[in-house]
Amino acid sequence: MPRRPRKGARPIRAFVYAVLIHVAFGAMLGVTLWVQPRTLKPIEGKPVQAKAIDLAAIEREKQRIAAEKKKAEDEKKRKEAEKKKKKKEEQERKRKEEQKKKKAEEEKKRKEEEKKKKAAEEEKKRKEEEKKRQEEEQKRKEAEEAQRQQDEQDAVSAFGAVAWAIQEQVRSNWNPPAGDFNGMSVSFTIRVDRDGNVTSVAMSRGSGNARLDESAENAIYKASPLPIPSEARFYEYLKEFEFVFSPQS
Amino acid sequence: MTARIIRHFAAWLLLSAAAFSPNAFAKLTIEITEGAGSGIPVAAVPFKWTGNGSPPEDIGAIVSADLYRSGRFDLLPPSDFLSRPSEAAEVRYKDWRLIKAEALIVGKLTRTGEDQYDVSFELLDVYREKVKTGLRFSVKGSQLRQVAHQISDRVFYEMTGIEGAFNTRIAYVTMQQNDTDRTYQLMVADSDGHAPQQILKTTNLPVLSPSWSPNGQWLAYVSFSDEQSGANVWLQDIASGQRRRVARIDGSASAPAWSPDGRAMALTISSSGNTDIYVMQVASGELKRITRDPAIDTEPAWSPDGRYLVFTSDRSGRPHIYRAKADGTGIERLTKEGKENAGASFDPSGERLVMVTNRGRGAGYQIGVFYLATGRTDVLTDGTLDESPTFSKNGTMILYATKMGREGVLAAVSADGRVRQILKLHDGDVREPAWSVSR
Repeated sequence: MPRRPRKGARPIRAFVYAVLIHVAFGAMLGVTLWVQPRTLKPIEGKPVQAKAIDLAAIEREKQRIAAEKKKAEDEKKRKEAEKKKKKKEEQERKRKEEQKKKKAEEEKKRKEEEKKKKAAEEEKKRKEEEKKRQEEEQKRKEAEEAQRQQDEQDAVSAFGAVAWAIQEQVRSNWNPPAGDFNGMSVSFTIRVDRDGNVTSVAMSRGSGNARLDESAENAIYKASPLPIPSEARFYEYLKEFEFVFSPQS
Repeated sequence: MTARIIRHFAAWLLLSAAAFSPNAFAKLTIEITEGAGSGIPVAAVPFKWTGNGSPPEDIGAIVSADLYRSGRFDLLPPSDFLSRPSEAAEVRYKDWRLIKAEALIVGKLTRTGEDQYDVSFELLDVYREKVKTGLRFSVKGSQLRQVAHQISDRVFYEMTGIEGAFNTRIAYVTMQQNDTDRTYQLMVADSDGHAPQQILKTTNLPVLSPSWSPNGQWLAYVSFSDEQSGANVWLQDIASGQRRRVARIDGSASAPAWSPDGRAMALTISSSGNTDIYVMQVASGELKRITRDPAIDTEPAWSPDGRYLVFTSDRSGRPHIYRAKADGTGIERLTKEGKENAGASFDPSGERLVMVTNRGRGAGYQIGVFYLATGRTDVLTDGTLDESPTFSKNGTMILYATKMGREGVLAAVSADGRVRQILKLHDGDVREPAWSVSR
């Protein structure tokens, strides 16, 4: 398995190489500049005259050229150093910027995570509260349902008598037309007010014989008011109910 | 019925107890399987009379009596009426709901000229507050009772869906006895026994067994004469009073019964000591013997489809009802209960027979209805000498003869036995009523 280069090692090494190459090229340029005047000098040419010039002046000139050369070199060095410095500064700036950026991102990420965490905690809390509330609601409902069932059972056990009284009152008012109505049946949905007065009679299913249907409807009207107990809990179950007339001869 | 309701509630209770889900509460259902056992409550307001003096007939009262006699209605007493309207526009329906009337009959009788009257009536639905039907007549005084019966028929039909049979006639025989003689009269009257009319009068010679032709035009009866031995079967046209003798029979004859098509008559003939059923062609008088049994076979009657004859026979020792095909074959005994059963005839549906039944143990003779499908007999009356029952043409009422003291009187009973009524009394002993199918 090939070893993978460490991440980040390569750019640093490349940078070092780049610097070395630059220095090498700079040196080469310097050498070139230094060599050129010598090779060019003969082309300028009046050597005879030069010989006539004072040696001291030549020396001075030499020194001046050397100084100038040195100065140029110094200048070059300075520039180079400056450039290097600038580059370094630029790199430093970039690095810092990147660092800053990275830091900012990290901060952002951190903040987001914090926010998320906080939201999760709140959600959890909220859910727990909701659950608690629901449980309480459920308990309340169960209690209510139990009460309702109790009421209903109480009502049912008393209903026998109540329904009997209603049934008897309607029966005694029913005068079906004579005839063979075996197997026929007519149903009505009745509403009553708290005093037992029949407030509406709706035929939910006819027998097919209009006279039978009318006689049954008449019986309900004639039986009104029906014997409904005054207690409110009874009324809940008696405010609407069904009459089925199924004559049997 | 009681058990049924309790069962119903038990089921409902279980259902409710099982319904634990909040909205599954079972709606209370109350089932009613029978009515009050009384007739439909009807208020018949006395008709408003416009004319001098008192009205010639009390139409409202005639209608009330008809409806009551049918057993299908309870007539509310006029003393309970809060108002006395004579037409729909005057009716305050609430007044009638208060006394729990389901139907209301209102009408007017107005004298419009010499022996000329207008009659109008309306039948009102008290709970739906509407006119169910109405009629208007312009008639002579002598027709007012008939008009009243027509009104009864219309009300009966509207309320029950069955054609009324009030505007029909009945025939019967009366006998009066003084110190020396017996006077027989063949009479025809309205279905309520009113307006009797003499058809025939004889002295010391019995008139027997009046029988209406299916079209109501003729009465057949048996009579005897001084000059000849034997019995004569007569046909009399009720409208014209003309009569003709269909046959003279050696020995004795009785109980002619018209076939549904009116062409033949079944009758009982006794000759040479044997009593059997014969069928006679009305046009020719030709006789065909149907039964040949040493026992007494008598009182034949046709089924409504004309395919069968029922008759009374004591071939098993006691009188019972038998049935034969119209040609006399396939004889079978129908009644198996009771000590004696006799004088059967069919209702218009052919499903029931009305007959005289003796349940034994000194019970005497009552009117019974026998159901052919089940063999069951319902006893409708409680007399000891009830006889000669005959169905009305709609099968809802039965006319019969019964005893009040020593005298025979006419009586009517509703086919369910709920209402019995003695019809108007006549002088003398009334027997053998027969109910026509038409006016």
